[in-house]
Amino acid sequence: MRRALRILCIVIATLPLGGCWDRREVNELALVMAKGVDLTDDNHVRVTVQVALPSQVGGSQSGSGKGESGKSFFLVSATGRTVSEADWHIQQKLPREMYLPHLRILLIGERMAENGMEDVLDHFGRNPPNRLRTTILVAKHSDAAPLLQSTYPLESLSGEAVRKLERQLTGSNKTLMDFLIEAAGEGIDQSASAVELIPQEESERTSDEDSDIFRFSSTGIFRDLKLIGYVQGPETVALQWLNQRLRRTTLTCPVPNMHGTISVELTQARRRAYTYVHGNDVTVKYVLLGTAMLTENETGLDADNPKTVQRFQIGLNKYVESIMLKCLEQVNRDMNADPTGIGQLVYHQHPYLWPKLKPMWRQTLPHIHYIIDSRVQIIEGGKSGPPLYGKPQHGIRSSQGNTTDSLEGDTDD
Amino acid sequence: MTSKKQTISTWQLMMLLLPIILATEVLPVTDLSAKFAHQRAWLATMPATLTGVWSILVMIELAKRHPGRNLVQYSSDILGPWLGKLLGVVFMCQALIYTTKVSAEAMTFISMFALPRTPKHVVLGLFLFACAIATWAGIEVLARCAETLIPILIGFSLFVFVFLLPNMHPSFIRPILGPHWLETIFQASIVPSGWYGEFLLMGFLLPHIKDVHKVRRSILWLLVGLGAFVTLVALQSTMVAGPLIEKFIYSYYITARYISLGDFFERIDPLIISIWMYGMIIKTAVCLYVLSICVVYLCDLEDHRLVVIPVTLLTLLCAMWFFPNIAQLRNFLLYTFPFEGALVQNILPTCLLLVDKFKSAVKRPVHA
Repeated sequence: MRRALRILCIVIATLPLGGCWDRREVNELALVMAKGVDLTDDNHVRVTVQVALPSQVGGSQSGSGKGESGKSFFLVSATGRTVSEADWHIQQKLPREMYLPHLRILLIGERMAENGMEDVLDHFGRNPPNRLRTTILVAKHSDAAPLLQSTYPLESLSGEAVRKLERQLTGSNKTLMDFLIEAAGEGIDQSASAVELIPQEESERTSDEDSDIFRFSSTGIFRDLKLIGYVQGPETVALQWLNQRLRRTTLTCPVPNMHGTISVELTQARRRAYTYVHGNDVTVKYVLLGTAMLTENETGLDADNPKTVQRFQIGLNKYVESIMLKCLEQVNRDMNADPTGIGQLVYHQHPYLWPKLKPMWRQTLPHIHYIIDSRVQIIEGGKSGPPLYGKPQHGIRSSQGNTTDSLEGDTDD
Repeated sequence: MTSKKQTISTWQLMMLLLPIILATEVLPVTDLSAKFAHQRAWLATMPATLTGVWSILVMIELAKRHPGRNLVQYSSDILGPWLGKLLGVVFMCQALIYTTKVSAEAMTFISMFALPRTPKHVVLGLFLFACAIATWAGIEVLARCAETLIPILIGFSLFVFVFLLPNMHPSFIRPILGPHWLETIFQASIVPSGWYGEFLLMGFLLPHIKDVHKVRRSILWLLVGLGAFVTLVALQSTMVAGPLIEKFIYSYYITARYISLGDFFERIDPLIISIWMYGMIIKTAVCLYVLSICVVYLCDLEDHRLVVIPVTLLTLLCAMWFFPNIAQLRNFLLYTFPFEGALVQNILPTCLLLVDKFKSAVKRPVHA
């Protein structure tokens, strides 16, 4: 019995001698931080990966001024019929194992996006190391590779910079999970933020090596996973807001009957949506809520005066309504896409009517009626009441009288 | 037959039963029921608990009528040696299905997400080796393991829930009602109903309880808790992944992987795997224990330790043989197990109870 036990112990002790199949040493990994997917001319997939150089990322402070070697990443790219095959071809060029779980950015080249994303997305939804938290972005007017190539002074990794840029501006990132949910969801089309590379203005240049800089200003609109166009500028903000993805933004808008504009910083942006269906007639009502702080007042009016604030508020809400309407008309009528998910709202609110509307939703889309009700409130007026540069007028009373006069005069118009 | 009878407390029984239902259910339940009910998967988990209530009531009633005897023993008592043994074999096969199913699930999960390059049989072998040690030690040790590990498992699941809150979109569960909502919910609830029938295993655990009469209340509360927990899990996955849940394999894991707090608290999936494995190990160990008990009483042997190793090896073989790939496994869970489970876990014990009642009703006047 003893002997048998001893033999058993030895046998068990030899089991781990085979080694651990899945050990991963950090110095045997190539951490992929960003990935670009492009379409080549012969309809293959070109994958570009941005691999972090651990020694440079860690000591970014000291290694910043070293020119070419100061780059904290390098790019490898390869083509293949599928993303996995291209990955494998990349692996052939890398001595270290490509490690995908740290992938933060998925950048889709414009041509790829226009051609349709079906062939690409399955890889990211299936291969276990890929996380759905990866941010998805579209490279506007370019392929993904040149965007990944550019360096960014603040961030050691340019992919990281792009991701932070999106979040900084709207407060959230569109992840692969969000994109796939839109793709799989009933009555909604997909959208993804677009980054473009623009030549940096001469004065902004910090050093001679980097000449281009990213800008995040538009949103790519997809229909059936094919990129069909972009919305620009304030409509991007509107789209994010209608999709409940907006956290904060800055809006600049005219004040009615005044020359000069005001700027507000908007926080806690929310929206409520209601749909009404009569036969084939669909009406959607959006109620937009939020709180705003005045950050700039070019009109010269006294922001300490409740009536002025109210007037600003009316102007702001009118402006918000106008950009919403513009955005909705642009995407629904001109592009015949539904990135704000009006179909989904109908499906949620009228589940019994949706099956009838669904087959002809594309035809219905341009004829939807919109009711937009913006109820943004300006809560804070900023650090000053009237502009600080103004000379005091004849005492408080008369200056107040002045503004109320002009206010009343305006309301009569 | 064992020289000293091992006993467990009611709390320990609850801790043993909890992973039996939860460990295997929590990962695939949402995506499997969502195949029928889509965004209403969380509603489908509620009617499913009915088979649990049924199973609990029947097993406790049987245990009360035959104190200190287990399912295999009293089936022989009730149906006579031949028919009773036959039923015992059926229950043994069911226990083998449990061990096989659970270890196959653990293996596919581990080899897909944690150790993709490790050979499958090594993963399976090591997993079953750990379970077999616990089984060897007996039910008391198992109960203590469960008492230690299960609260951690529950705590961690709640932790995942809380950290997923920022990513939840309540609108994803809409529309709650809609065309064919009732049919789809009941269709979908058939899938998780199989797991709740696994209270059948109580037939082998209740003999270790000192006072069976006080157990029913706590077990029913346990079922309520389980039902609520599984509903919460389904709600959580649905609110995070929306229309994608029905397409995921192991939606719970994928949604938990989505956790991100302030950019640095991410990628906590190794933790999820290890915590989930606690439940799996306890469940497999309990099932192995039940399987060996079945074998022991069917063959009139002395001690369950005699058969632990052969039974473990049998499970190892069956797990590789029954489920050559994950699609087979999920197909089994989706289409076969609910019906096979309803037959063996619910209908057969109920018939047993009815025969028992009938016999005692007939017998009593004779004795009187």
